[in-house]
Amino acid sequence: MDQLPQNFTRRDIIIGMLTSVGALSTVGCAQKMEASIERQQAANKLGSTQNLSFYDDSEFALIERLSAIIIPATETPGAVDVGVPFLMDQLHAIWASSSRKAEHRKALGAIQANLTAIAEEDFLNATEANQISALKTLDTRAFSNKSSGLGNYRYVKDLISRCYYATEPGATQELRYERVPGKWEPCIPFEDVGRTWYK
Amino acid sequence: MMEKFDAIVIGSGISGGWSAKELAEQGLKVLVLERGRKITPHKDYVDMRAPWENPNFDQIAEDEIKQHYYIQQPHVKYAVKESTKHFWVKDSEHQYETPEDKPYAWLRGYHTGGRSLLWGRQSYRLGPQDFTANKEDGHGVDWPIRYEDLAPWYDHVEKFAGIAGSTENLPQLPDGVFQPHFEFTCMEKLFKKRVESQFSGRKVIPARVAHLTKPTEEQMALGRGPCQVRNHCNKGCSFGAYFSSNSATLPAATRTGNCKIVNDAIVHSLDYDPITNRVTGVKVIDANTKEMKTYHSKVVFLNASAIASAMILLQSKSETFPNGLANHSGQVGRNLMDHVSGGFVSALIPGFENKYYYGRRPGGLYIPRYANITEQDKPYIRGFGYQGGSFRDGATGKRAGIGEEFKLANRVPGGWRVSIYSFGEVLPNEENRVTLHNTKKDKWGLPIAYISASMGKNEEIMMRESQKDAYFMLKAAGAIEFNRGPDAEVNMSKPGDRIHEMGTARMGRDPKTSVLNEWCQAHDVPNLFITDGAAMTSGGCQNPSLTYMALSARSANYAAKLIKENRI
Repeated sequence: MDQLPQNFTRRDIIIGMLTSVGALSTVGCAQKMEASIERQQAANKLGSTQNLSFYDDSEFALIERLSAIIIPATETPGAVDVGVPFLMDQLHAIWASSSRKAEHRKALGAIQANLTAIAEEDFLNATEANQISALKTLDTRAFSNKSSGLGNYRYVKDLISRCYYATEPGATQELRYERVPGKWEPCIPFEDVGRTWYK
Repeated sequence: MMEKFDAIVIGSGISGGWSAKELAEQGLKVLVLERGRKITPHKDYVDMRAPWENPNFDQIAEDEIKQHYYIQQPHVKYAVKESTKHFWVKDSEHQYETPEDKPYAWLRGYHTGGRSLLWGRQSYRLGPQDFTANKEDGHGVDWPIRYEDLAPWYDHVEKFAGIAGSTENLPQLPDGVFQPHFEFTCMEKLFKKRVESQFSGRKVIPARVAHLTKPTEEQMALGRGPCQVRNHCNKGCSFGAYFSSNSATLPAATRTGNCKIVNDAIVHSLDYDPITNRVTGVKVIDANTKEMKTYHSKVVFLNASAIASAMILLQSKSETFPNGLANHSGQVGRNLMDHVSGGFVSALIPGFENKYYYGRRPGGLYIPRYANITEQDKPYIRGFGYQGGSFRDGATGKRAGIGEEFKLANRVPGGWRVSIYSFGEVLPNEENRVTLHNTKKDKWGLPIAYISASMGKNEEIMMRESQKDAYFMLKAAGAIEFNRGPDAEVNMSKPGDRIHEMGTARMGRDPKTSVLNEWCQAHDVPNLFITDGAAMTSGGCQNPSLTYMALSARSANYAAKLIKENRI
């Protein structure tokens, strides 16, 4: 047999095989897996603004504030805790084409202008309460009327969310994710899983 | 000393793997020539990576797509990723041309196992009607075999490959040798009940997929294990749970001690001896050094894929065959078929909000063809099936709300969404063809492909009708919030997009109008067999790989018999 692939632990195999033959129940599997997943802390991934590859300081500050307010830390980590602003920076530095980069910059500028207009002061220098209030207003406008010209906000919000839920804490703590389910159960009580599956 | 082989198999994909296995198990010395690189599972498979271990959502950089993957990625977005791009050709390095108004998507990977590593794994038999369709409606030529000729070979390959499916007793979609199927979700059971009660000739059945759900001893002896329900199949499978040449047929072939695989061997042409009327050798170019070498054998199995196999024949010119080997009929390269998609409806069906599922199932539901089978009132000939399934919408940023309220809302999955999309038959048409480019050559000095193919009126009408049918079935099932209506404009898939290349060296009864006989043996050259998609006389509407497997196994056993009896 070939050597195991990277990141493929014996635990993964054992869990997969056991669940395949029905040795673990869904409930038990989900709970045990959750309990046994070795949490990888995101702290070291955060870096500092000196390491930014795409955003300038004010763009990064805006992304950071949007991330913090849209997905705050609760009993699970928030978007900033898991490094979403840095993931967005890397996404645009590495993946995005020059035209997308330009569009994104333009979108951030428009969002900043909208929020400043709603807050009636510079959004980034507003109090946290005013920032939350302004963003709530913008969010309501953006989703109550899809023709409101706020597609740029909807796009950035979606990107922040996608980045968040694609992190390990986002996928496994806030949502649920099984690396090796090992079996298919087509119709079980929602409570047995408890939260939305990531993918 | 020159190695001697009984058989050379060109291509190691889904059909080449079968040819090699069957020939080697019959005791023949087999050489497999693969134009791509060797696959090393523990290095090449990336199926054990979690989503967070693939930066940038595993997307290939947009500039890189534009430069290198401008055909592969847009057509196969779900599979051509940063972590898996090594399974797909760079379009910039493997070019071909088409007429400007006839784009063709030639989607492929060059490596051991070919597209068997990348396929959708949907596995359906052709039905009796598919083998008589050409004869009955006059499109193409008559198949030289009938369903009954192939049925035992379907049994043979299903038993070895492992197909998860359900017994349904449908004449148009014969049952096979199945392992337990992946069961329906509660919503799919409801969808099935409502559709079948309101459309009496239609059935909703579990998808039939080449995944092990109850592996046999034979399968486990090859190192294969049960499907882990991860749906990471596009990344390779470290469990060998889905069928591929890499997990199944090539290990079976090599364990006989009779099979050798040579990678990076691009076939230049086949040598032909007019005195014996036999192929005598296979001339290859080393992909890395460009060194030329010729291998010899008693028989040659061409399994390079429909387009590539035709090109090899067209490149193999001689005084006897000035238009390409085994091409007295002039049919080599013609009748290029694919399947066609276009009807697509996705909608929410209320109910079962307290139910969920566990695992990421690799296949959903299938609605077998009913048009011109159980329903005869159609403005088109032949028919289509639907693939699809149900799932609950996941967490999304495309919703209102911020803060804790937003997080809490996303912890509860959305409604049950049922989606179905059609796969229709494409009629054989001699004008849909691949030829050798008149002037342009690849970096190995071989002419590039010139592919000219388009969908016809029947396909267009069929897809338009499939959109309507899909809508009304979902409507009857109680769906709301449709993505598209019954009269929505249908965006028909481009030829090639379904990755079911077929027909370029069709089987037939008459050597004047077909390339291969009932054994997939060239009418013109008895020791040449072609058992990939090129052999298909018509395409049916079912995913074709299972049929390539059955044809390959059948022909290989026939060829082995001829060799043993010294009749070839």
